[in-house]
Amino acid sequence: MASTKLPKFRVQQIPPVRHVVDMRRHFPGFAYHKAQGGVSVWSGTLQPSDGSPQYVVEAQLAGHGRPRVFVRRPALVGGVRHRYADGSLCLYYPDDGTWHRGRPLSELVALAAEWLWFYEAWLLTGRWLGPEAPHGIGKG
Amino acid sequence: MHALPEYFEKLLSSIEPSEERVIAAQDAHGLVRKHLQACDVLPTVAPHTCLAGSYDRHTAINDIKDVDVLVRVPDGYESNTPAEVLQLLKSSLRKLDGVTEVELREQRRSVHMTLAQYDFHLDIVPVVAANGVDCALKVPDKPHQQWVTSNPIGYAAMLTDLNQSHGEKVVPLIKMMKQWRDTHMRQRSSKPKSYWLECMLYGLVNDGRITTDGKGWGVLFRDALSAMRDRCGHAYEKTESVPSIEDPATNKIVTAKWERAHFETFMERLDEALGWSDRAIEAEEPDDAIMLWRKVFGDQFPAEEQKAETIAEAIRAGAIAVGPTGRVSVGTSSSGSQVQPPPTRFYGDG
Repeated sequence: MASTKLPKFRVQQIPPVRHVVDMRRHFPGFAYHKAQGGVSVWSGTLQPSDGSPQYVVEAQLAGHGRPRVFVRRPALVGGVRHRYADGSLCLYYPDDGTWHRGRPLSELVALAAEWLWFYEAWLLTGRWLGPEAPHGIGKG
Repeated sequence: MHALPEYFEKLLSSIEPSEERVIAAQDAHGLVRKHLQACDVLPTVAPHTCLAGSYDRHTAINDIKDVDVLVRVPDGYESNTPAEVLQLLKSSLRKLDGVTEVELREQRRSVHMTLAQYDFHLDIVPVVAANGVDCALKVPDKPHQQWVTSNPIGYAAMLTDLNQSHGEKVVPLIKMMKQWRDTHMRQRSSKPKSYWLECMLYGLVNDGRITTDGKGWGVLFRDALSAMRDRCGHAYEKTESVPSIEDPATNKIVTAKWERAHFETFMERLDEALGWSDRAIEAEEPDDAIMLWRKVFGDQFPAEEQKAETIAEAIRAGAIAVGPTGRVSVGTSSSGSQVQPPPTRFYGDG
């Protein structure tokens, strides 16, 4: 895991059609559609463990902005860590280069499943047990 | 059905002997080996001593208390009576350098040594190994006043082969079976010996009566109980008999001394565990499955909160995979449809 700030560099973006193929292989329950403004949207359900609810999740890729992953249902409990102001999940520290447009979307969705797993563990234990970037090193 | 793989991995991890006891076992063996090599009361030949038993086969669980040590005496030594050789071995072990409290007791085939300062027991067995220690050996049998064939190192090699050809599932299965036995049959004198269970499981896997392909730990354990039930059922129905379980390396019956009353207790506990395991596998709610598996394996089967810590550790170590439904499981991806998420650090206060 990267712990120091990585130099920024341009990556070869994966075209949406390859994300569609990748998602069909790894998360066949997810559906793809093109939303207003040319935003590519994949939506489907994730169930991180046997006893979990089926979370309705939406992953959005728009232009060159960061990807956004939302949990649409059931509503997440207030006060949970690691979300952006718009409610999307903060799945990695941006400067770590954990995920970028050159990587398959299925990895981002897998990170969302991991996030949900830690969310459920947080509900159970009251502690966020997942790996965290120290706060104060940037803006999440 | 809830396979609960993380729970079983945690169970297997928690019944592993502690590093401290493993080191104590190595120290105790090293001490005896060095002493016997230097001692001229009982001559020994290379490799002088070697470890045998469950510790050597990696089937030991929890607190290792006993270690079997083979002492190789020269070829032709079987012309001495078992009693003479065991007496010589006992004499040669009387003074161990740096050990203050040694208690020695002659047994049928070995000298039992208690090392109080190590909290350890060693069964030290003299062997004649005409073809090397990994082949059939001759060991003394004092009550019968003869040397008999044994092949502990050969059996260990056979078990290693069987384990490897079954996806490394046989040794963990043996450990789970021992954990169940220790949970429900606490009296040392009445519970079936570990070696009997090992030989029975070895035979059932080797004969194909227990299959391992594609099975999770819970189903594998239940199927093993069921196969053991079938294996012993015939003897159980008769009023006087016990099952004849063979040592896979020598084809000798190892269960001849199993007392009928103890065997009946074993079968009663086995039926009980089979019922719980069936219900655990069929349970609709994971909590019900966990509660039933805890009945089978005791408190070492993790509860819900322990599970969270267990998976969190695996995730932090990057050892998880996400399946097509989003299920997060411990272990690296073995199927093309699973995804291993990249190592990450979550960020942001929300």
